[in-house]
Amino acid sequence: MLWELSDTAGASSDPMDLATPVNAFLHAYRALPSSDARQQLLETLITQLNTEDCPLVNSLSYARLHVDFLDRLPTELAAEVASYLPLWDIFLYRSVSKRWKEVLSSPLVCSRSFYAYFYQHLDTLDPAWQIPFRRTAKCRRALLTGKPYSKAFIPIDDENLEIIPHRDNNIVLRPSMETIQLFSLVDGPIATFQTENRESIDMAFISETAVAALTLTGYCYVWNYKSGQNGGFRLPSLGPFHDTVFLDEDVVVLWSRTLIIWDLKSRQAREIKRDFRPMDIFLNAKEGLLVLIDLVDARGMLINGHINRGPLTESERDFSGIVGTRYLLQGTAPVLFDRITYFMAPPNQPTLWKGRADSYSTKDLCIVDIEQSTSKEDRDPCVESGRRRYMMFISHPQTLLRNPSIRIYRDLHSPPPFDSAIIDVALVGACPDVMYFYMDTGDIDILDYSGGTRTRSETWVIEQCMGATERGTSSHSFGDSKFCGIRTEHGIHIWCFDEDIALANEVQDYRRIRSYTAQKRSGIRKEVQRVRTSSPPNRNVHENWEVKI
Amino acid sequence: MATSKQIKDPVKLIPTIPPSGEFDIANFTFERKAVERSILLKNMLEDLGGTNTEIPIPNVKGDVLLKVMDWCDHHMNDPPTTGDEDNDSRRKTTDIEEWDQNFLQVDQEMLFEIILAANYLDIKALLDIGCKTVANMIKGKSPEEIRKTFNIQNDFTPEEEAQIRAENEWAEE
Repeated sequence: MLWELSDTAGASSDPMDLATPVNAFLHAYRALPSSDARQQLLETLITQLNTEDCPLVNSLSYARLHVDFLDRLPTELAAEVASYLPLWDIFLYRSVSKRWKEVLSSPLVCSRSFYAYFYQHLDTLDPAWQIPFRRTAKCRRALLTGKPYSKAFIPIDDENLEIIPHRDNNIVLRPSMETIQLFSLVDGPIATFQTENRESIDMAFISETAVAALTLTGYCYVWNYKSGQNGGFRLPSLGPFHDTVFLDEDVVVLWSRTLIIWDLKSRQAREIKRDFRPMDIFLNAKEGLLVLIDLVDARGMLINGHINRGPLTESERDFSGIVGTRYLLQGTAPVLFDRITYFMAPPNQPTLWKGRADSYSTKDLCIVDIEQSTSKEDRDPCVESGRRRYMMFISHPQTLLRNPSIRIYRDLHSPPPFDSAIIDVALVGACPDVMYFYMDTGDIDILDYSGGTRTRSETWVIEQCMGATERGTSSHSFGDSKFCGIRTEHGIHIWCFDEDIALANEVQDYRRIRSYTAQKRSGIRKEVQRVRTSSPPNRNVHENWEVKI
Repeated sequence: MATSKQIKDPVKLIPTIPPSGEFDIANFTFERKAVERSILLKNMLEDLGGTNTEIPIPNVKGDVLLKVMDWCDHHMNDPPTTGDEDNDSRRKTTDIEEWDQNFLQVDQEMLFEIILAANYLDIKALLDIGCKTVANMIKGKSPEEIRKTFNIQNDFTPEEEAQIRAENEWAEE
């Protein structure tokens, strides 16, 4: 049956027009028995064309083979294509053509591709969205290349002084057993807190607005350093509370045979009954949101995620997935909202081995280290005794309306003996694919999960030369998307990756370079020229890491 | 081809844009299960009820429709995709299974038409692999190689191009 709909479609009005010879030709062409025969026919046809037809044939077939997809696709589909491109290469592709620049700079493409990086503050409806976008992208670049914009050193005389957690620009120091000091990386010391009865402090925690301390006598104190309010409560039973206390604003969540939530405003304790502690917790006090992150078995039942260092029974050894249970904290009792499955191994795949599942968390990011059995033939260098490791990065959005963004990367840990050399892990937060490992050699390894590379920071080699005796003495480190800090026996080294932040106690050479580039950026070129000729920046520092603008 | 098989529950699709050249309309009868890979057509079939099994398809050329239905035919027994499209938990790999890779070994114009058709007919999985294929064509190439691959005129002046590079240098690795 021939094509019979052409009349109804209204494309061809006269059946006797060109369509008939065209159809006859096509029919003959398709009827040819082999591709060789078809090629021969085309060759003969081409020789019959006059010189004006040849360019036409050429451009018609060229157009079929070369399509400018990003130009011709609607922007939402172009954004879909861009979302599969290596994230940071999108900037490189902006130089292809004006249209590509336009498409790849559009809010739609940027918000889709970079969603995981700006899950909380990239609002492309705001006309100024490019400013935070650029700032975060520059921050990530500095992290990735291991070239911080600024460095500070806080000398410490007291060898008992501990640095404890860190949140935003602040860290907590403990100058004595009974006191803790809030120290801003930008402004220096802010305040000192002491327990009511001068009880010894076991652990301290920090949020944007408050500091909390657990005492050896079983109390938890909370000080809000913004409002001046303070209060405390008796812990239901003594610890150990290691890795089980979370603080956001004035809200404390801790696990002690059951999950307890206490806040300074209501001074009420609330409870979520459960038999074991969750693997990790995400707490957002402003939104009244609490997410408990747990391991599940193949049937989706919660299993104890706590990694006991002791021997595991058969049933404790494996798990199949990771879920989050979301609770709303407004009101007198926590309300179960929903459950999210972050990851579930397909039923036909081997289960995961719990012995190595571990999580590190920063404010909005939970990183889970998982291991899966693999075939014996797998020659991947990251496969260790038949198990391949992955890192799962869960970025928690600040609102209930969006689901967390999850990315799974092949792990870049190296097999032993490298592994045994890691003594501390400094985390990098809002760039959810870069992680710092602090080695006992005094080096820092930078793991870029989306690029699949592991590099050693040159900057830190310089630092190491400056104080060779400090190697391997650290027991504390911290880090997020902007800061990285390491405590050595002489003091705390702090690096900052955000060029707009000026650190307290900033090292002179860094300060000079940073102000130099700031001037350059603000367009005072002539002035910079003059400064450069009169006082060149310190050569030693400048040679080893150039500051990009 | 669809016609060579026994069709248990036939649905006839009628492309209103005639394909270039000669086509056998019998080729446009497909298994309902394959047609239902398209969310748009699935909803239309539901709205039309059980009796009417002819659907006119505007916006998709006949030859492209045949190609798309080839894909649907091969994938008709796949588990249905979940509606969780905004969830980023699907892994952002650019791996494409072998059958699909061979299926998309077509000229760029056809690939372009397939992506548009998959979008119009709402076939998420086909749209995904189409977009992944384009992304794979871009990946790892320099801007100059990209221009060659897709026949793009560099419409920047050398100064403009240098400026864009300088502007975005901080993001390059």
